[in-house]
Amino acid sequence: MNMRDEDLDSGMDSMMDAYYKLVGEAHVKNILEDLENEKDEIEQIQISKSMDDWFEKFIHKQKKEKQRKNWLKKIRTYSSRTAVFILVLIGAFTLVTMSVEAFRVRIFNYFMEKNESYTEFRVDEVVDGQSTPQLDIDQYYYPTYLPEDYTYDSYQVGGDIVMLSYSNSEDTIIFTQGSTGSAYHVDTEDAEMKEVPIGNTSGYLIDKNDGSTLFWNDNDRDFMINGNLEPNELIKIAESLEKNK
Amino acid sequence: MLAFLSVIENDVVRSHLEELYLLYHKELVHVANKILKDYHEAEDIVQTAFIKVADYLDENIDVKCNKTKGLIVIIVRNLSINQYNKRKRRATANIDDLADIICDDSAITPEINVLRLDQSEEVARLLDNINEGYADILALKYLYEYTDKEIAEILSMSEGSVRTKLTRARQACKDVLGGERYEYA
Repeated sequence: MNMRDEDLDSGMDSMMDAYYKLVGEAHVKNILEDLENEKDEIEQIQISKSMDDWFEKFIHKQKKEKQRKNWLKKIRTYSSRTAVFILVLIGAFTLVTMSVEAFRVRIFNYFMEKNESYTEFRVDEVVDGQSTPQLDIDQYYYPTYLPEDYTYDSYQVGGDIVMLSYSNSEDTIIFTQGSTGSAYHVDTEDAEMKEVPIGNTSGYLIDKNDGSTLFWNDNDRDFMINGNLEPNELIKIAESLEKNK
Repeated sequence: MLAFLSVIENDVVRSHLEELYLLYHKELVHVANKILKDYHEAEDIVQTAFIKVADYLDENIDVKCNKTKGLIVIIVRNLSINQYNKRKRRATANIDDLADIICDDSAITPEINVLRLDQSEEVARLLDNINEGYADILALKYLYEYTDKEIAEILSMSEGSVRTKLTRARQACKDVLGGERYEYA
């Protein structure tokens, strides 16, 4: 086959491909015309309730999946852009004391190493004669107050870190909890940071244009809430925590 | 449930899937039922079609445009045909029987017929008469530009079956246009 024959074949193939597309368009037009002609018959169709129910569940599942993907995407964004990664730096270290009463002595040191673009929060726990309590999913805190339209979405467990996700149609609130000793890197670049009261304790509020983060500790747990919310809403969520039974 | 959907009809965030369901579910059940003659089975097929189409819907699609409606109708048609064939092996028109269908002057070659663009709807109908899946698969491949793998997933077929069907559909199209003399070289 000479060059001209090859060119002709190639040209013919391209022309046929274009024609197949035209046939495809014509076919779609034909089947839609057929449907239009059967409109009266179609209107008489009674769809079963079971099908509508199925679709309602299906669409709900789809939305949940979409929210989960958005949430994971957000997590990934944070981990790359703002270095929000959670790392258990130290569990605890034991102080041998001569105390008569075997009560736990906890020393919390807020280490706030101010970096150029992030601040590391870490609460180190010192427990007398006991190991750091291990957190598992059977033992967790959850907020009893949520801003309007937010509902529980999903959770993830990594080691003794539990992350609960709550979302509405647009935004997600991520509530993270871990045993004392966890380290949280929070983006504080161009952020306003201040200490705020949370019930009987206090925490740190990092307020940024694209959302706020609240970090605090309640003696045996570290908590962090992140979301595109007003600071007072974050505090209300924090104050509403309850432990699961 | 329809009441539930109607309530959110004006909600701007209503998903494309919900819109698709609201707009076309009756027509889709009708399409499936025409092939299967069984409403329950037809509803099952429509459910399967929605599960499949959910992964292939572009966020920017216009749900109300004919191209989108055509896509879901094609999917329902093919899933119904597959189901029908499973239920009862149906003899489809043999490509050798084309002579009975094609009324074109046999002296006209395909390349000449291709230029008759105004006849594309008739060609599509003839192709659909030969085998209900041929025009569908050409549309999925050349109009919707899905890959063989995507078509296989959408229509619950193997990739090999998709390629075979595409080859047969293309050949049938050429035969509709001008018979075996398409191999002009």
